[in-house]
Amino acid sequence: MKNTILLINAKIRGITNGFRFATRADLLKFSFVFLAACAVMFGLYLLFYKVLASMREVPLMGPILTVKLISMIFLTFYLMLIYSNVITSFSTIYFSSDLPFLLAAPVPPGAVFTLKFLETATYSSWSTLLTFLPFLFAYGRVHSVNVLCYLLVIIGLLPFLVLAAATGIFFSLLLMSLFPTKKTRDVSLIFGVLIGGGLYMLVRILQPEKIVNPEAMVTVVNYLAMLRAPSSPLLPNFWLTRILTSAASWNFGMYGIALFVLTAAASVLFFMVLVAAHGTYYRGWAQAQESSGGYVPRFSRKTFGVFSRSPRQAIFEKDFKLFVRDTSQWSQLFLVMALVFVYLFNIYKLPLDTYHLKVLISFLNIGMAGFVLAALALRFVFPAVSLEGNAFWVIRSSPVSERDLLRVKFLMALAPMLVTGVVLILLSNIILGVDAFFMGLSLVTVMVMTAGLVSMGIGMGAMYPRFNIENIAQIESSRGGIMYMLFSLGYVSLIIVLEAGLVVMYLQHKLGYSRAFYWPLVVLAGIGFVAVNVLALVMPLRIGRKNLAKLPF
Amino acid sequence: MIKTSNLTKKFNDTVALDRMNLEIKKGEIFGFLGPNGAGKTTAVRIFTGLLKPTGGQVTIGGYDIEKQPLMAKKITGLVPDTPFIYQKLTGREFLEFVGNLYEIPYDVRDERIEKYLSMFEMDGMKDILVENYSHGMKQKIVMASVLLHEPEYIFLDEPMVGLDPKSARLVKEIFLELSAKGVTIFMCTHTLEIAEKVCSRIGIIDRGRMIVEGTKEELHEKAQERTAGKIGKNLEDIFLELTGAGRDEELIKYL
Repeated sequence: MKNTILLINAKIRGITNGFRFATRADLLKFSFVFLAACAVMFGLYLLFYKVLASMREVPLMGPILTVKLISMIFLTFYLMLIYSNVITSFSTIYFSSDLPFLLAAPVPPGAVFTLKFLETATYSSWSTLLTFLPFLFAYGRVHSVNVLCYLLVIIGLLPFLVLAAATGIFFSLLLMSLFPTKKTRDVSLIFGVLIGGGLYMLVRILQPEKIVNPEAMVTVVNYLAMLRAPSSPLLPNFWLTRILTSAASWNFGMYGIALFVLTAAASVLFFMVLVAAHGTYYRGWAQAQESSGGYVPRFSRKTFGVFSRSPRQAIFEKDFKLFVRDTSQWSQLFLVMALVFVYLFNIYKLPLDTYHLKVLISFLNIGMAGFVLAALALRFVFPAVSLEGNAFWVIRSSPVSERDLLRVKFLMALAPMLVTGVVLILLSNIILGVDAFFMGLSLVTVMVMTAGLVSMGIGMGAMYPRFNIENIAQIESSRGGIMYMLFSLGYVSLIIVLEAGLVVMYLQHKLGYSRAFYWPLVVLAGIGFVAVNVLALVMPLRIGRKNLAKLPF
Repeated sequence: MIKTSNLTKKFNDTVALDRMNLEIKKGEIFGFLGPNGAGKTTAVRIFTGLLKPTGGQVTIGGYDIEKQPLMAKKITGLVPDTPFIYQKLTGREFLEFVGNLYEIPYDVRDERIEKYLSMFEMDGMKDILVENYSHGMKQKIVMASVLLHEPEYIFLDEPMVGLDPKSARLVKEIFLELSAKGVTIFMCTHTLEIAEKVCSRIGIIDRGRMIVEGTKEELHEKAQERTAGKIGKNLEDIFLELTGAGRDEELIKYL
């Protein structure tokens, strides 16, 4: 215990020193990100508030539906937390750079494991917490709870987070015991991503939105059966829901029982993981350091003839090989496929009866596809420069300009992103059965928007590179990643706003309005569209290039 | 020629390099010595374009590293203090990649790769991913990569760290051979024995300022002046005297 506290203190000192020795510029940047995060949380709060408030208004069923929704949201949180803990635990528990130092010191491996357990839980939970808090405050406002309720729920949340972390880490301990080499990480990553993608698709196919639409169910029995489904007392979300509802209604008896059950389960599982780690952790870590050897796929020169023989071609070949060989990168493509499937499934399931409704959905679909592409770009495009890592000196000290480097990365990211964007729009428009005008408008917009998003991703990735990271998730959740997300969402929204006028005019024209098109507005929107996209295409790459050129390395 | 005039680098309030003036002629092996944190690595990073200076100028082979970076980089090569290279490439692939960055024709590149892999006894490991290499193996691959495009100027930051004695000796011989062919070598090192044996001129830097520079004999003379003739000819003694490390002897007595 003494050793664990010592190690935790050192970590906390590292974090506080980050603030103590921060320059004014660092504090300014931190404040900006903090405000941006607050803005996002406020947006989520408004969304949750609207949903919870409208649910409360449903006659008779309102309270039941609310509890049901909360339970489902908590179940989603729980599954996301487990998934995140599995993925994070490999880098943190087995491949973290401070482990050789810590495990060579006269500190019991159990103390090191406990520290790494807490690190994993923290890294995996913070983003869920940022979503949970707006939800809690929205619930609190709808149900007019007092301040103590928030405190009680946050206390109840802690064992919930520990339980999810312990479940995820237990899974990774098990895998490391079964396949104790570096390959395990690859195998587990693929497992993890497949499980994550599968769960996501499963949840979507279950169509949880039906709980707010009783008419859609054939009989009351079916409806009640569905309501009962994910509320098993064996699942932690059941007890966290109890904690929230009992704290809100001042039912301290129920609150105490729920908190006890969650805390007891978390404690038992935590100690089970500690016991399991006692026998396996050090052995697993030591074996994970051994070389994996094995087959390395070779690529023929002809495979890569994209840029002809030049430094650009060299960078392209290198990046392609690194992507194919890094499981943590390509395995995420399973998630992309799941995302595309669910996206198209959603479109397919939409009850659209009229032409105008289809057209409206087709138009909004451009925005939705834009948000999906922005999320993909955050995962695959934004980290492109940072992934050069500590080996960036090789390119930096060679006769390759920053312009060439960013150009290759831009083109490499653009091709698959364009394919994804066009497939999303093309298939969803075919499902919707829209006319040629909307098909053309959607396709042109999504292609231009993809180029803009990729340019912003590469450019902003060069503005905020993180070369010294152990986990790709650290790049996405960095200050630059958050900035990219905000800017890209703003960009997509702006494009939709600029096109909205044209779409309305076209619809009026179809309805038979004789002078539907107001040409000055069309021209103005066209100029705005071109200006925004030229800015999105040119500026980020230019600023990124200049930043990269003066960046100390 | 490598030439710096009033080269200065500041990191916030810390002065890492303070108005450094230096001229290294073609074919020289220049040893750059100094205690930890003296500014050696900062200088190498500026010379190779990894870092921008705060003030002053650097020219490599007549090219200003700030104004004509690509021209300067074409004729230089770098071996950094830590051999970070792409983990998911094999040794051979890494060398092919570097060869392509410098636009070496494929046949010449492949021929040189085979030559250097064999020279550094890395034939058996060339198709294994770099992530499975030891520190010394990575250092050998980086050393091979720097020789690949036959640079006119080579910058080395602690090149011998991690190398086994046989490879270290091979590298020393390579340096001498390259120097005889007119290649200029700038080497930061803490291994005074290597500096003594290989370098034609030596510069000693302390807290960002070049405190002394010249041949080993010239350095000895300067140290003699400071100690009224009490110093030996050994480079270690000269270095410790000039950087003020002698003061530590009193402290060591307490151990």
